[in-house]
Amino acid sequence: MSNYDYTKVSKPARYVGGEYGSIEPNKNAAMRMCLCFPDVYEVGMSNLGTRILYYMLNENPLASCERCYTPWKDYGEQLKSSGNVLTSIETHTPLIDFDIVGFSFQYELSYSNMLYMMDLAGIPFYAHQRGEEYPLIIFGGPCVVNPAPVLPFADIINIGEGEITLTNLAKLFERGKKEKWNKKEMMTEVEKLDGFYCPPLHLISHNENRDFEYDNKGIKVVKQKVKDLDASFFPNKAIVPNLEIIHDRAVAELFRGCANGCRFCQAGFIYRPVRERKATTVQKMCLDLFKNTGYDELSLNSLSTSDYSELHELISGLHNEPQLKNVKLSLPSLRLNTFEGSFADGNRKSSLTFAPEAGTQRLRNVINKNITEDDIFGSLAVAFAEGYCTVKLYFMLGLPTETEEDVMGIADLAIRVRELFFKKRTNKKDLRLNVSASIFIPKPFTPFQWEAFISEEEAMRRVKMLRDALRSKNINFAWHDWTSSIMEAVFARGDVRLAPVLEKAYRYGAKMDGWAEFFNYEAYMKALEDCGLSADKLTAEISENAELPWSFVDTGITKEFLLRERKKAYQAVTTPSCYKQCSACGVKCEVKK
Amino acid sequence: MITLKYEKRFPLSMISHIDMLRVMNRVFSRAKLETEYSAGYNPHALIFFSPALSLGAESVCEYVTVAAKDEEKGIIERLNAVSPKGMVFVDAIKQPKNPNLAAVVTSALYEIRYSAIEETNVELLSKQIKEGYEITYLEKGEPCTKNVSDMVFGVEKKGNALLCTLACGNKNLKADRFIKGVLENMQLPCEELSITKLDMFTADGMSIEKFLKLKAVFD
Repeated sequence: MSNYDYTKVSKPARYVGGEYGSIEPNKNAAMRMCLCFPDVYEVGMSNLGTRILYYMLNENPLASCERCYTPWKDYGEQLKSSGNVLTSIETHTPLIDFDIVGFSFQYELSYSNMLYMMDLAGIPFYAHQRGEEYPLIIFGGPCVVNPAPVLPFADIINIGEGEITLTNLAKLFERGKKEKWNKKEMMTEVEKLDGFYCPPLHLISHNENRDFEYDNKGIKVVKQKVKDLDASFFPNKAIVPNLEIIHDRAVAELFRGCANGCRFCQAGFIYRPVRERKATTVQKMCLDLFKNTGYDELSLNSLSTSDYSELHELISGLHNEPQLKNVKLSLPSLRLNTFEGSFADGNRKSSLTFAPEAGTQRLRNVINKNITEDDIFGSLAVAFAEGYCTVKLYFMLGLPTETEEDVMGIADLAIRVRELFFKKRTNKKDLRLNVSASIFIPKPFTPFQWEAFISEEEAMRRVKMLRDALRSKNINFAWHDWTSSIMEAVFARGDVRLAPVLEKAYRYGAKMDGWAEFFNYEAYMKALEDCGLSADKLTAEISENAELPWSFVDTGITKEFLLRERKKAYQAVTTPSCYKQCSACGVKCEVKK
Repeated sequence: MITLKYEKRFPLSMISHIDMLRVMNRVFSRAKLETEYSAGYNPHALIFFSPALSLGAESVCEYVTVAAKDEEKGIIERLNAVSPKGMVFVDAIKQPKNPNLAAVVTSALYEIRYSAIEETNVELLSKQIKEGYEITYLEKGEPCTKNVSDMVFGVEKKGNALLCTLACGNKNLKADRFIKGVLENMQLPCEELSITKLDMFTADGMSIEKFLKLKAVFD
């Protein structure tokens, strides 16, 4: 559709492609895939996982991979009114003409955009409505460790890291094409591979797109994980966008997994075990990326960068690299207790972001965020003396066992940070202190997966308490919207009854729900009501004996471990990092102590 | 200083002028140009563009000047090897200092193609422009009517395209805005519109390419 008049829409650069580093795909590959990211270009292009898979698949002679992102509303409306369909960016091929269309779900509120994109592509939503003329639809990403709410829309669910699963899938497509398999034959073979589940093969019944019933008895889908990350594929280039994206920088991945076991954090459990790349490997990756992209900013990514065992070697290696002289290094996800002023040396002293998550030591122990006030104030004292004057502090409200004292603890901590600043500052600049609070959402495969989500009344009472306590202290306070949080909670732990809710919510206008200005709470409320469900009931505490909708997925973490951790949480007892002591979570690993 | 002439074609024609600075910076970085940086809190490469091209229009005569020590020889090949689709460098001219094309350019020649070219009465249009010509367009969502006679320097039909010389630079008439206004006045449909900038000129009517070559020798 390169002759389409893109000047009619805002930011046409989102749709036209041609970025440096994008690939001319092999149209004759056995597996022609369109990798869809259910959010706009600027968000999707920032995602590291899809960047890796894009290059990995295009370097595989059996596969080709193109991209598609959610169109902004203006382009979506124009596609519909002009009778055009959604196409890939690289070759402007309609989505229906691919062998397989993949969606990567990074957050639950992007589910509605999957339906929006299928709608614009002219693909029926439910798997049972799609004949042989439609591509296979595959879902992946962290959200689908609980695939239940989206099962009826998928032909294939991918559980685990695409480096393994999609390579195997491409091999299977080669056989399938030679032997002219139909969809059912293909799905049957796909399920024989590890890490795949094909819902249509297990659908027992449904009643006009409601009351879906699946037979998952005896099924265990084992999450696939790269064993040797150092030897695993990582692109030495990146697609360099022509317009500014959210994370507009080169990214090198240090390691996967996290050893800390914060009890609210899903990523901290589902990506276990910790798997590191060698510093020499990362340094080479950084040099290649810099050379091949022209970026002037480089980010070293992981779930907890300061836990990287060779961080000092890597940082000094990169600092000594003459080619990286003008490159700004950013280290997201530094933990408070290991922040060192020296890391920031040579960088501009802009802002610091810390996430204590809870206001009191007791509650930090409950959630196993193993940092103390000494860590917090020790790090900040160094930072303030170094000249930092903007600090962001992230907290959560509605955590299990939270009391008024814990809420006020947030205000108290923020006020003491301000006091510390005036003692330690080295210039006359004032402190810009931003406190933000999100609402705790219980997620599958965490020790808090059984917990209740806080009610609106109680959440707003705590927000108000905090707002009043911080008012007139010259501290900015922002909190996350409760309505979108509860919908995230509903879908995170939801079961298959949520699929028709999602479809109805989309029909009522829900899309772009990750964007606060577009989030359509009423659409979801109406859809839930239509389906006879209530958000309050869906987000209530779950009994430990109940069968969970995601129980057929095996991430390696055992239920016994999660229950042990939950018990310890209620006793406010912490669990040490995997580096210090193994707590027998069930994942087989060889973490260096 | 080195001034580079480049073509801006689809899909790069869909990249706004504001985004071009970032795109160009990265092209120069990948081509390993020895660029000089400003000395400030946020150091940035010293890069200067010719006047902005409107979004969607193509051009065969865009210019960018960069404070780089590189020689002209081989630079075009180095740049083209690392450019995004739609960007083609065609010439490099060493300059003693920034020629400041944003201020020097006063007009530009556009080739405009559209479906209703056959029905367009160019003689009448030229006559109307001499007498005072108003077009209506949307400015920040509000309709706005303006006399553009002093910003149109020539209109002629050549083959199945319209050639227009319009004000460009500090005083600027966007080619798409002009043609849409004309077609609306003539009650003709505005379909299959494509615009290509062919050349830019100084106030004396000298082509910018010639201007740069003279500057390179005599300054």
